[in-house]
Amino acid sequence: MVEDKEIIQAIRDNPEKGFRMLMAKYKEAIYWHIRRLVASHDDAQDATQETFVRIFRSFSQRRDDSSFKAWIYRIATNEALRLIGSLRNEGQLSLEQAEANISRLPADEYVDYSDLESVKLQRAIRSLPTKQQLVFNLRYYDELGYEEIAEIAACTAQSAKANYHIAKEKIIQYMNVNE
Amino acid sequence: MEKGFDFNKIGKRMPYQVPDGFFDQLEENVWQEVKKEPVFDKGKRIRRIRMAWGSLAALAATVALLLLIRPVWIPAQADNFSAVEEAFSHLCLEDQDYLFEIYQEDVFLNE
Repeated sequence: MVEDKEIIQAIRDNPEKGFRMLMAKYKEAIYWHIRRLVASHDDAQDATQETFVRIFRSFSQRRDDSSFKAWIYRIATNEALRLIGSLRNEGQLSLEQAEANISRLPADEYVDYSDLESVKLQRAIRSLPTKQQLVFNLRYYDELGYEEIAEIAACTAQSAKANYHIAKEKIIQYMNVNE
Repeated sequence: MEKGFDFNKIGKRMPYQVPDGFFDQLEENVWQEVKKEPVFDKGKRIRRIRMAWGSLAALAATVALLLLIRPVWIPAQADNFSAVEEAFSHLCLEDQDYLFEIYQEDVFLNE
């Protein structure tokens, strides 16, 4: 796996090469991160494209001391929240403002509804408040550390850890009750 | 903690799917957008740098011009005043008195 610092250097020295390296490492991870939040494929596609365009537009303003991965995920999260807000005509949502998504999955050509268990798990996750969804997804699916999650969710690592455990408990309850 | 549900049963499996070739198409779509950005467009980047230097040069030239023409204005004002004094001295005494009477109370001239 290519290191982030190599990607950053490549973007500075040879932008097209850097672009290809960035996309190779992050395009799928970022798409799935957004997809888990917005659920619909079309929305996730739009938000992912916008995320990468924004990454290149604001690359020169990025602080060198911040984690590159956390910076990318933060842009992606903001795009997903902006999209969720615009779909509800509420504009850009903050994590605190964003309420839990309706737990049912939207009708989408690209959802396998026959996989009942995984559909149910996604419903359980989507029944959580957005901040808990975000923290749970970043830990469970993306396997990020609490420090990185804290940077993305703009909270402390302790708060991220607490949110993850609360989310996990709620999901277990949901899965048990709705069996 | 309530037990019963085991995350390992599902792991990271998700019901979400993507169309075939989606990620390649996604990369291409993003590339079509970002290649217009200054970080990729060398010509645009050079034009921006040139424009920045051009603006700086224009600013420097303006400052230099202001510094150069300032001394010209000051003597010009002095010349204008001495010309008026000279013209005034050529008037007869009655006209000089008349002008004094008219303008000595003028608030704008005596500000």
